[in-house]
Amino acid sequence: MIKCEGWFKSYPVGQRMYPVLKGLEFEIDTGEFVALMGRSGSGKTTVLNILGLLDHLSAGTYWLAGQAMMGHSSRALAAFRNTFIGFVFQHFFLLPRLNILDNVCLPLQYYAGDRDQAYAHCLQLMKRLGIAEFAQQMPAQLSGGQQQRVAICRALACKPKVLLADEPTGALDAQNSEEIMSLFKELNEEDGLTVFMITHDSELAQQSQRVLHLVEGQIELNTQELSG
Amino acid sequence: MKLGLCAQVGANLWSTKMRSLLALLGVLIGTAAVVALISSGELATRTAIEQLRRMGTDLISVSVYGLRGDHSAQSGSVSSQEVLGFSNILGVKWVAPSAQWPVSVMASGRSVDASVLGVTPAWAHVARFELEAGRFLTGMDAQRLHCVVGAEVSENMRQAGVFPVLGAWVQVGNQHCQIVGVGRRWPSNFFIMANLNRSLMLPLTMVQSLSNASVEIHDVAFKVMAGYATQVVQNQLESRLKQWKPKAQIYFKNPEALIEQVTQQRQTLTILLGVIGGISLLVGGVGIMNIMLVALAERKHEIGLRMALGATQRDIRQLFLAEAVVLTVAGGVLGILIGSLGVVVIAWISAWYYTFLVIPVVIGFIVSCLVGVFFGFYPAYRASLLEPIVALRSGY
Ligand SMILES: Nc1ncnc2c1ncn2[C@@H]1O[C@H](COP(=O)(O)OP(=O)(O)OP(=O)(O)O)[C@@H](O)[C@H]1O
Ligand SMILES: [Mg+2]
Repeated sequence: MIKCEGWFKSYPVGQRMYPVLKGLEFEIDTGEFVALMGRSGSGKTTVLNILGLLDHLSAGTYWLAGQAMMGHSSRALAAFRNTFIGFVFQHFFLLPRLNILDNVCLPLQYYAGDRDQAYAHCLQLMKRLGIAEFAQQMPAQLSGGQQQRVAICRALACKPKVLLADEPTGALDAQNSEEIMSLFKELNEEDGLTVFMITHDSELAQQSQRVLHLVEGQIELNTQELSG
Repeated sequence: MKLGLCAQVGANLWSTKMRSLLALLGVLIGTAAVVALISSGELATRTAIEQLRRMGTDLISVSVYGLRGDHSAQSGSVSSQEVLGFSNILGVKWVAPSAQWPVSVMASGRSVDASVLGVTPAWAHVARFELEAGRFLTGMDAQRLHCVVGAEVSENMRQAGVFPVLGAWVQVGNQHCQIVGVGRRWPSNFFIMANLNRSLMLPLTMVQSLSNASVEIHDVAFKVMAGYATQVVQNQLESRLKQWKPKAQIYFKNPEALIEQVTQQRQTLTILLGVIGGISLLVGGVGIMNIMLVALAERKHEIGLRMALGATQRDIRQLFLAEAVVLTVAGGVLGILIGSLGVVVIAWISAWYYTFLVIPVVIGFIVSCLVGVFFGFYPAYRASLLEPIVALRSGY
């Protein structure tokens, strides 16, 4: 599903370029649930943004679902983001002016496929994630855990192939974190969704199938393989 | 499900009500100014033309004066023979010479405020002087002491105790004349120097003999026959006059030439007023651009999120442009309403002929839309050029 080869990424700091990723390589198969760990500032979010086609590589190649993500127009990249990728952020990022239903359906505005069908899918998802009853409420009226469910619902609105989550439980308490984790696992196991998650919590990371460690701009070699 | 662009635009504008309202107000004032100014210019012009037309487009007046210092007889005035000569010119229907006689008028021992004017029977037709009572001077009156008074003169006399005015005798100089006609209120006419409401009109021949021929004819008015071009007739009159009086100063006036002039100035006036209105609309447009740039700064994060969810640059551009256009069009429509109302009020106050003019409304609408697109485009374009990652990283 995802294949990264020789990823380099550096940011300009003053006059010089500050390298964050230095020859990063990894692969994620379809239906895998992978957690990415690493110290703060190690470049995890950078990796996720590149995977999510929000940022560009300085060097390296990236295959997503068998296609090389290179030389695409910004329009094509937008379409990939819409239909291939679902984002979940630490701080939910719901639009405060829209109600829950409209927030969930936001990606449908940019969806090229059958919108009525996608809308029906959204309603179903909301029921499944237990947020259907809040459909007409505003984000500010919901708890953090509920808001994150809405955000996950939104991420899944256009039936993405990969779910990218940047510290999805970072702003939640233990109980809510646990619930979100089991939701990810459920989506991964029952729907075969590929999940890539950044976390600081090694206990949560252990619940994934595989944990990658980002150290010095590379994936640490002694990556453990976990079973289920 | 608020998937529609309109609903989103509405929600976004509503969320910053006060700001949107103020920006809208700018466009509203600008559009109202455009509509009101262009309409006013046009209505004022139309009113002027209509007023000229009412004086009669078949009217020509000429004033003849001698050069300063040249007192040689007859060079600076028109003689009775020459007046007769004018009537031979093709297309001239009536010739109406007139002459002022500076002499006092008395009625029943009191002085009457009236200027004495020597005229011919054709005068009533040419000057469109209508009678309240009695009759106008005829050829039969040429050697008689008969006169006609204007509306104000008769009113003054009535107040002085002369009743009825018709048939009463007045003292003009040291002669007594009988009033055979009382005029209706006469609408002032740009082409006739005298104010006929305050005049006492005697036969021109009578005036000349009473004054021992000291009264000269300087003003002649003409009425053009139907089917003849006023300007052509005027040209003939002019060449005839120049031939007779090579040294005289000759001034022609005719409504048609004036209408022509006003019509030519109308366009300049309209453009000028349109530009003045346009400047205020421009200021309104700057206001729109300003709030759209503020909105862009505030909603950078939202833009990043939308891009992460699959919005293309075009989607973002549309969203922002739509907001600007909705604001300006709303301001434009309200401005058109208020501007049109303003025109009604202005026309009423200025006593213009009012007609609803569609063109200024159309111009106002189109220009306000263009202002929206023009000033909305830059912020929308900037919004669309944001890098998704930069936008998403900006403060939440
Ligand atoms: N736009 C940028 N310009 C310059 N430097 C940047 C930029 N984005 C990230 N960096 C730098 O890249 C490094 C990696 O950042 P990144 O956000 O990927 O870290 P992270 O692993 O997600 O950290 P955390 O766990 O705190 O979220 C940091 O040192 C950061 O300062
Ligand atoms: Mg991070």
